[in-house]
Amino acid sequence: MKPIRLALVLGTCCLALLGCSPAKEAPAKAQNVPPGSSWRAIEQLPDWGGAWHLTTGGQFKRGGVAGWSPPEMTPEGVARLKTADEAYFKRGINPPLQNCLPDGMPHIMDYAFPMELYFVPGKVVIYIEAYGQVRWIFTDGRQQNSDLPPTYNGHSIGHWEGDTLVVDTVGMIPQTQLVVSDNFLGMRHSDQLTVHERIRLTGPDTLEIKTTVSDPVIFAKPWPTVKTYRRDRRPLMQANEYVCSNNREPLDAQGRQSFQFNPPKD
Amino acid sequence: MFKRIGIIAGAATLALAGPAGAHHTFAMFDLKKVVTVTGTLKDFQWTNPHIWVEIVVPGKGGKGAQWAIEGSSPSVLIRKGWKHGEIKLGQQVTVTIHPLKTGQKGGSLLTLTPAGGKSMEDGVSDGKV
Repeated sequence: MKPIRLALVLGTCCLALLGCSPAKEAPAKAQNVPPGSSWRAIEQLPDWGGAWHLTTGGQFKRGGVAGWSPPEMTPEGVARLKTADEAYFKRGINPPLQNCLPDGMPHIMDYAFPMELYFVPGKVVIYIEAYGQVRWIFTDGRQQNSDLPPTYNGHSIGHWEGDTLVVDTVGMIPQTQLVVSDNFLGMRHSDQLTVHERIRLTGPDTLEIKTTVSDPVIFAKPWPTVKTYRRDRRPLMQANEYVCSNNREPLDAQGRQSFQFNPPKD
Repeated sequence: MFKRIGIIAGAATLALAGPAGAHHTFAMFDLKKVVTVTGTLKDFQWTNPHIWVEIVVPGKGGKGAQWAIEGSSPSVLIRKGWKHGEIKLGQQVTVTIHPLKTGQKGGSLLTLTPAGGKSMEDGVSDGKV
C-alpha cells in the first residue's frame, strides 16, 4: 500500500478507536434509584457508624426529661390505660418483657442500651442491644406487603429525604403494649397502630429520632416524641450480645413477679 | 464477725439511681431504703437480664446467711468500668442495695466494693470511662 493511503487508513482507524464509534447507545433513562441501593451509593449516605447511646427521651422520659408528653387519648384509650394502671400499680402485674419476650415496636427503641445502624444495599439494619433485637428498614422502594403476618417489630419501609431517613412501620402483633407513662405494663394497642420515624444527625456525633405513634382507636391525635443520642466509637461502648438466659424474676400465671433465691449449697 | 447491717438515712439520691433495664417494676424493692451487706462473694453471674451477686454473711454457729442481689446487664456494667477479672469469687465484698420489701435476703444493687478495692457503681454509664 502506498504510504499516504496507509496513513489515511491508519488515521481512520485511530479516529475510530478514539471514539468516533458508530451508534453510541442513548444514555439510560435516569431511573428513580433510591439512595443506598449499591455499595458505591452507600458511600454517599451520612456516617451513622459507631454506637448510639440514648441521652434524652425514651426510657428517660420519667423524671420530667424534656422531649415528651403523654398522648391525647380517645375514650377507649383512656379506658385501656385505666385498666393497665390498675393492673400495674395496684396488682403489680408486669409486661411479658419480664419473661424475656421482646417489647416490639415502638417501645423496643426506648431502652437505655446502645444501638448500632448498618447500611447494606437497599436496607438499613438496626441492632438494638436490649434483648438482642434487630430491625430491618427496607429502602429499596418496595411497598408494604399485607400478605406478611404481624410481628413484634412490624414491617419497616424507609426512604431518604436528603440526610433524613423517614420510616413507616406497620404490622405489629396485638400482644405488644404501648408504654405512654411510668406504667411499664403499657396499654393495648389496636391493629391500626403505625409508627413513623424521622432519623437524622443533629451534629457530628448526635442523632435524633422523631417518632410519631398513631392508633386512631386509642389516640385522639398522633403522638409525637423525640429521642436524642450521642455517638461513641470506642470498642468498650459498642452494642453487645444480650441473651435473656438467667431470668430469676419470672412472672407467675397472673403476671406477678417472683424472686428466685439460689438454694444455699452446704 | 457478723457485720452489722446499716440503714442509711437520706438516701434519696441513691434511691433514684436505680439500675438500667426497666423491664420490670421495682415494686419488690424498697427504693427509699439502702442496706449495706458485707460478706464473702460466693457467686457472680454475668448474665442477662441481670447480673446476680451471691454473698454469704457469716452467722451464728458457723452457718452463713446468703444474700441474692440483682444488678444491671453485664454490658451496662462493662461500659461503666467494671472488669471481669476484678470480680473474684471468695473475696470479701461490701454491697449497698435497695432491699426486698419482704425482708428476705435479697435486693437490687447500688454499689459493690471488694475489700481494699474501689467502689463500683451499678447503672448506666455517662460515657466517662
